[in-house]
Amino acid sequence: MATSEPSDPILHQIDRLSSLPDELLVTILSLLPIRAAGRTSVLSRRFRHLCEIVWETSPSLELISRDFPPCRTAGAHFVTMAKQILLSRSPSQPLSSLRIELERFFRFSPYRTKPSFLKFFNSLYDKARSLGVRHLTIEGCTFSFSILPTCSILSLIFSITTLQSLSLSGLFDDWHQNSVIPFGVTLTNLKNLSIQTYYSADPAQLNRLLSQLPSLEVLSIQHDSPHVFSLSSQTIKQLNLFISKYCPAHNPVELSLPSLELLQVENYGTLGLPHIRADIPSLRKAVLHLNFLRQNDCSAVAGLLNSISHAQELILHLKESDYELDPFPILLEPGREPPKFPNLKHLEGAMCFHEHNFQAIVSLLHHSPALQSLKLVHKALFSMARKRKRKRDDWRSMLPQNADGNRNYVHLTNLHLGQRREFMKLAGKQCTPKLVQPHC
Amino acid sequence: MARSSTENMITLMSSDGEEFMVTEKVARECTTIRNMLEDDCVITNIPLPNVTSDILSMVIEYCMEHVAAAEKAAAETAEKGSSSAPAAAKANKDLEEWDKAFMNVDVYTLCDLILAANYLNVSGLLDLTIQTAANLIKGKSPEQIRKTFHIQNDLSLEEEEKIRSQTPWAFEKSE
Repeated sequence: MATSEPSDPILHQIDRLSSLPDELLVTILSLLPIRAAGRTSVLSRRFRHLCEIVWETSPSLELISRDFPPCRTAGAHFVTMAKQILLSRSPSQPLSSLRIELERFFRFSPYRTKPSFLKFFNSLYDKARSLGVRHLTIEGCTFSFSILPTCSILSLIFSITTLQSLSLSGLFDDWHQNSVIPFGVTLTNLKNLSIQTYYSADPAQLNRLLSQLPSLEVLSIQHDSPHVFSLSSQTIKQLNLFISKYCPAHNPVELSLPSLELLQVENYGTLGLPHIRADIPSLRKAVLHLNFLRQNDCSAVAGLLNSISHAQELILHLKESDYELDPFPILLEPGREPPKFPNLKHLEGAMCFHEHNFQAIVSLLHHSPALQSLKLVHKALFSMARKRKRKRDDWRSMLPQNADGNRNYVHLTNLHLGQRREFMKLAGKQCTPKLVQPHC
Repeated sequence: MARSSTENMITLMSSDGEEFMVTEKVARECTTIRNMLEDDCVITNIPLPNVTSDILSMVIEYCMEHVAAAEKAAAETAEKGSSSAPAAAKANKDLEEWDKAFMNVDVYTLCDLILAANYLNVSGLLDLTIQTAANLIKGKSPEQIRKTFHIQNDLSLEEEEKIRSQTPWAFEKSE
């Protein structure tokens, strides 16, 4: 082992990297994208050999078309890479996880006809099956839809019975063709399913799919169907529901998930929030990211709060639409009794704490006798909508002054030890003058 | 660095005979040493024949920084009942910044640190150094990688050409 001065300039010419043992160099190379690792194969004989080890034995592979420069050859190179790295892999080297990203492959594809496309994909999935892949991720892109519909892919993927998690995104849905999900096949090991596609599922097809997944625990799904959307499953414990901007507010979302423990809802829509009717008796935690809220979304928000009111933990991120000039009640319906939260222990809220939101939180506190911790963060909405003539004063934070002397956040733990009363006192002081004084 | 006098001190000896006194807590960051201490709890002097003094001092610096950060976070949590998220995020970011600055070393030292982290089994430092080495390779042409690490090319021109033609996808340059 060399032990002389490290500042010795000659010593710095020594190839120290190649003196690392194979296992460490293999770890380094396996952290690189396949293309970058591939470039090291011409460094020296040793690296040539190491690259082969990485390709042949790495338990996870990522075939990423975006690693290629966006030009004509990208698609063809992607195919060569897939053939060399995945398709020629020895069946004795099991592959645990496989990620395939296809955007540039689609844009610059060497295949001109649909059958040749499908033949290539068939060979990929056949290989994935024979290698016993457990985690599969496929990322397409928006304009691939006419070529590679989700259902065709699903029918291929449904033969990979070792799958434990499956994630599909950027693929077009052709559920309405009412054809392809194979009957009688069950993915008994699948625990985690994520489908982020365009023009989403016909609920009947989707629920039939769910009925074929007896171990499913986590489902992430984007809802933008023009129809009534319903989900039912006996096994799902976690649901991540994304409500897209194409989803009309007048069609309700119905959830019947007796095992659900964690519900996450996020909307991107400007068409309004649909009513969510949820039968979820086992719920423990709800995370709601509600955006683009308008005044008429109030009953949908209140309804959603109602159906999750037995949760122990609630995280609420609210953002009003930029088109709303004046603050308005969104969390609680005016004139109605707010729901009770008998089990709520932890409440986290990030929103603009204008008068209505602040009052709603105070009233929510009154209705949550078990609350232990409270965390509120003020999100200023004023600056973003300056052009829209919002009055800064109406959108300022009404939170009581915190230890740092500002009103941007409140963080209280041990609420049962009298902090609750103190907060209410502060909250009362905070609100009253604003309500009494007509205008400043 | 707060250090209570009752804490056990361990002497680590580098390959070139230099001795480093560290607290047991810092020494335990190295899984290899932790295992030694668990096998034989009275041991106070550990020779490390595979690590030079300048590399050992860097490993100790890393361990001390990370132990101090963990202690600080634990103290804050105990004081306030729970750590506030912004403060914890800032502490994490500070530590990341520190790591980044710590990795500002020449490739020779980096490779020695990888070996030492592997031998002493300091998982955080091993991950950090390996990722740093990977970052040094990423985005470089083979010629640039050879130059960075002073790698001698023992492939003949024909062999290199052959590899390039077998894996054209790895060598395509952006237009």
